[in-house]
Amino acid sequence: MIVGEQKTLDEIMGLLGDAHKVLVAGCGTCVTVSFAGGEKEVGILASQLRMRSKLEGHPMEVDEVTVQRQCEWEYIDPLAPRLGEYDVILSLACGIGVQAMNERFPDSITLPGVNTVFLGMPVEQGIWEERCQACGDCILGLTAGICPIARCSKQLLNGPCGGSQNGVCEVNPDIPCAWQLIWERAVKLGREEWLLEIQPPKDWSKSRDGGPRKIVRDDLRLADME
Amino acid sequence: MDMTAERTDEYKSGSNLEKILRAGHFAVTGELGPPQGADAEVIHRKAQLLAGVVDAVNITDNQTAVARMSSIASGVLAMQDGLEPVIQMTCRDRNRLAMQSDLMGAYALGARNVLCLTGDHQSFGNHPTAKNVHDLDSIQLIQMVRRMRDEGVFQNGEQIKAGVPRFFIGGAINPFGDPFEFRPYRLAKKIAAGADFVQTQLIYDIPRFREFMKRVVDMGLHEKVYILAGVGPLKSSGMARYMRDQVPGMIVRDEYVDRMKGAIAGIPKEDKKARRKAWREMGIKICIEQIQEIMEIEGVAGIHIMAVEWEAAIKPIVEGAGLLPRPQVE
Amino acid sequence: MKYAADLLEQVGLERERVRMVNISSAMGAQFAELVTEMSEQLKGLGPSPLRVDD
Repeated sequence: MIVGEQKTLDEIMGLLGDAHKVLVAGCGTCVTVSFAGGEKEVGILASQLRMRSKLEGHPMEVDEVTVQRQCEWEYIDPLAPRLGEYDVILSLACGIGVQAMNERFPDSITLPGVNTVFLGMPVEQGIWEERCQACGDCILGLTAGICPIARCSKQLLNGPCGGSQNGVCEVNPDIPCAWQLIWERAVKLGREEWLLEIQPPKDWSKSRDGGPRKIVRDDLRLADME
Repeated sequence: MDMTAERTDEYKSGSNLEKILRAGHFAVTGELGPPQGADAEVIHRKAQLLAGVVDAVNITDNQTAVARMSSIASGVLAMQDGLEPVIQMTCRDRNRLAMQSDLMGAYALGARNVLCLTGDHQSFGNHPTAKNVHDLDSIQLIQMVRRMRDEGVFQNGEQIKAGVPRFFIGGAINPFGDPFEFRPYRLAKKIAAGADFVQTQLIYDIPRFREFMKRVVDMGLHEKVYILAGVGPLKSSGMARYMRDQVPGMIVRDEYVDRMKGAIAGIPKEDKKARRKAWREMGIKICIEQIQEIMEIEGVAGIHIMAVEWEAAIKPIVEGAGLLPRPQVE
Repeated sequence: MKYAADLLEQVGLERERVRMVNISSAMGAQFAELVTEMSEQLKGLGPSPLRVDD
């Protein structure tokens, strides 16, 4: 899932500037599960904005709404009739939701209240970790099911750099060395040979480096393809 | 047939380092760190301390992710002082286009050795908010340089059009990194990719290095690549402790920390000059002993001396280890 | 609880305005003591600036 983290109240106040009427718009999917922008976070942030703006002497009128998914037209379209009342919409969705809102409602300004951080999962209650970089060319079959593109600080494809020690990355002792994990798992599976072949340079054109990506599935399209 | 030409053709690059190693001499390389500025004099000053003392000198590439004068430019400046550079190139700062471009430029300017590195993470340096590249990793870089030389092709497979860069190709290995069991295999991968020589991380744990070399020799890798053991003089007990406790990928045995501490026993704390002198003498002494110990280990083809911001230490170390004068190979 | 106090602080209010204690129904005296203590603390902080403006 997409994991987000709410921006600080100070930064959000700065973004909102002198707006008087604000709609805080949450999203019921990924950011709800990562406790960054669901209905609960919308409620708390809206209260904070009301209190803080009042204390600062320019009270804002803050309304709240949470849609099931901000990244699909059918879920955000019902918001259309009421958006005209607001100076600004503060979206607590990921960057996709914020852009969907701006694209669908070009006359309104939708600002981001959340930093979209990574594609990952909760490894335990309250801790999320990155797992995928959406590089467009999955190599998990060669790396014992552990992704060095997302989990090695240098995205190495042929084994650990010299900075791996005691199982942790040179960047930070809180980061497990991805190649240590890969090696241990390969040994456990008796598949060390996976790691002995030289992996050629990666085709980064399938990643973001090839420009914004797009998938078209003619079999799923409704337009007249025949 | 012109014998000189035939002889040169046998070499992969014809660099002095290659010739020394091929002739079976115990090689000595040093390290020179470019300045954080554009002053060529800094390079000349350091280079003069090393000329005639080492067979070739590594020129670091934005070492520890701090922006410095380019390794290629610094290497060309050092050549003016009679030094042969080993151009270090990290995967952190360049993509494959920039790397190939710089390799061709460095060769055109006379460089003949290149050392292919992953590069320290930018978070260690003075631009921690920089974007890193890592388009290739160090093994893929070695492979690219080898194919440029041996097949005359760019990374994309296209023919190089005017002049093939023929480098003596180096890599780095860290016998103290983990997973320890994988390290000899990683060396094997570097050899398969095309490494002609490798230099190790600083050694302050000779038993572990010996164990690593045993595995390397058992795999026969020492016959396929020249292995230069990395050493360096400690400057103070504080530095020894710091390297032991704080530097990722390093192991420093307590005996070295203790000996550095012992070096200043009896010298009052206020006498900074005397402490510094005692430390530095001990650092050089330990380094010489280490070289002598390492020279006895099977499979070691030479020594790589890293004296960070202390280039003046290299001559007394090489001399003390009985490795001067350096052999001349034609 | 720390989270709630942090939220107040971000807004610009004193974090001491909110507090949670765990107390059994059999501990009437302690409960009264805590409530008194809290109300004294709140008196010390003064009325909420949000309320004064109303």
